[in-house]
Amino acid sequence: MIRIRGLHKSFGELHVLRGIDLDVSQGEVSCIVGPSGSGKSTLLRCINLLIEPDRGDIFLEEVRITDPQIRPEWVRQQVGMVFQSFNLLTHLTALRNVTLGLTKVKGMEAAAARDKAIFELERVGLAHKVDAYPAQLSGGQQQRVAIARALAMDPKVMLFDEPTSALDPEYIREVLDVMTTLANEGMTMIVVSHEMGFARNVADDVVLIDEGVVVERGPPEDIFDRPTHERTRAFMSKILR
Amino acid sequence: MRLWSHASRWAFAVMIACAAITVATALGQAGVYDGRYAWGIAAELAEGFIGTAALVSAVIPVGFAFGFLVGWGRTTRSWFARSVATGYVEFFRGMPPLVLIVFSSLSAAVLLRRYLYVEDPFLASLVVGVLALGFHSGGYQAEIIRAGIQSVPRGQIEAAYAMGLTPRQTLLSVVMPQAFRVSLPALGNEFSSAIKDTALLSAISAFELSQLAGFLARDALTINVRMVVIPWIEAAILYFALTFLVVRGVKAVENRVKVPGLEAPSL
Repeated sequence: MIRIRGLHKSFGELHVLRGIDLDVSQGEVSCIVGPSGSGKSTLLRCINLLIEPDRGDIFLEEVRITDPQIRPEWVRQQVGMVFQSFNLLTHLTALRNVTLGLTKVKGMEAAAARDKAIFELERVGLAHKVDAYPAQLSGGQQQRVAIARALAMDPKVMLFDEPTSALDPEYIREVLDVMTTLANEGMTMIVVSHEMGFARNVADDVVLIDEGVVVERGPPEDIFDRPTHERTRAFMSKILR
Repeated sequence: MRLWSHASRWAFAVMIACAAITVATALGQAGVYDGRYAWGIAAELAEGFIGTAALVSAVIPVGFAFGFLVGWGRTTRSWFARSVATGYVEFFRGMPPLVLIVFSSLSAAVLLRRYLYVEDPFLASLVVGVLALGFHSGGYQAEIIRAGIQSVPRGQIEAAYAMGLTPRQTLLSVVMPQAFRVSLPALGNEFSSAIKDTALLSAISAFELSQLAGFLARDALTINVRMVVIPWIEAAILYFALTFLVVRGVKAVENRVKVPGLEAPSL
């Protein structure tokens, strides 16, 4: 589904991604972990072209999306993204946050977009909050609306950029539950997260990134319990306590 | 907080009213009032009020249109658009509006006569003066809009891009609606100052309130010196009414488009 080869990205002097290779197959949940500043977010943002990579290739179902001929909007329609800080559009209700992409990007009729949006909001358990503005929702509810908004576009892949890091502890569960359900329904997901419980129970693949390269990848049991690389061991000992 | 601001607003209104009554009584003691004269000129001043209102309804939309365009231009990536917009702002904010009005309107009159053989370029040069004042207000409005656009958090734009919106759709559906809401109180402030600047158009013989008040005051001199303040008092009341109306109007728009979490700080 997603194939990344030799991806490089620098911001000025800072060489953030130094040749990333990554494969995610259809229906797979890939969890990316690593120290802060290791390039995890940059990698995710390259996949939906919010950041333009300097070198290397990304393929989405055999289409080379790093080709300059490809319209980034075309890619982003098929790659949903959920942000750490939710980023719901503050001037629109939950419903309109979801319908905006449907009408403007997919060209759906208003009534059809509304039905679709209500369906997606029901899926994340927020049918009763369709008319609420983001400021009237809790962090967990906002993040669930953000997930519904991304899902409504019927993406082939969903990217999650630390979706629970900005949440108060009591709201983490509801967001992870939605993500788990999504994974069980067969959605292809790339998740940057330090929720080790989620990574262990839901991920098919855990990828450790450090200093812009993939240090180690494998099934969660291997990465967590039997890491082979020194850097993986050092990182795990810090976060697993 | 809310209660306090409500109370302080009333206290302030009472203070202003007391001051006005004191001044009015003092003027009465000085024998300024002449009811028949005051009513007699009121009808004439009402016409001046309509003139001023007409000028305002040209100046504010011109300023708003250019303010929006130029304010947006200041935030674009294009080096050319940014330079033009910055030049516009610097020029129109750096010029005294009176100089701007007189210079542009006289230039227009001279050029029209010289090259287009217009015999009486009064109306055209008046239009140029009104536009000049509109551009002047546009310079200030542009800065308000620019600040509003720049106050939209980066994450809002990223979210719009991430769902596949084009930069143009993002500007129209996300950035502008938010920037507009945030800018409204400051725009209302600029509108109220533009209203009073229309008095400067009397310099190019526009038919408006303060020019008319001046004429009436001069006539009053020949009747009874003490009455010269009456036209000015009435003009002051009419200016206040017009400003009050426009500011209330902006406030009404503000309330209409208000969204929780996106309230601009306002008084």
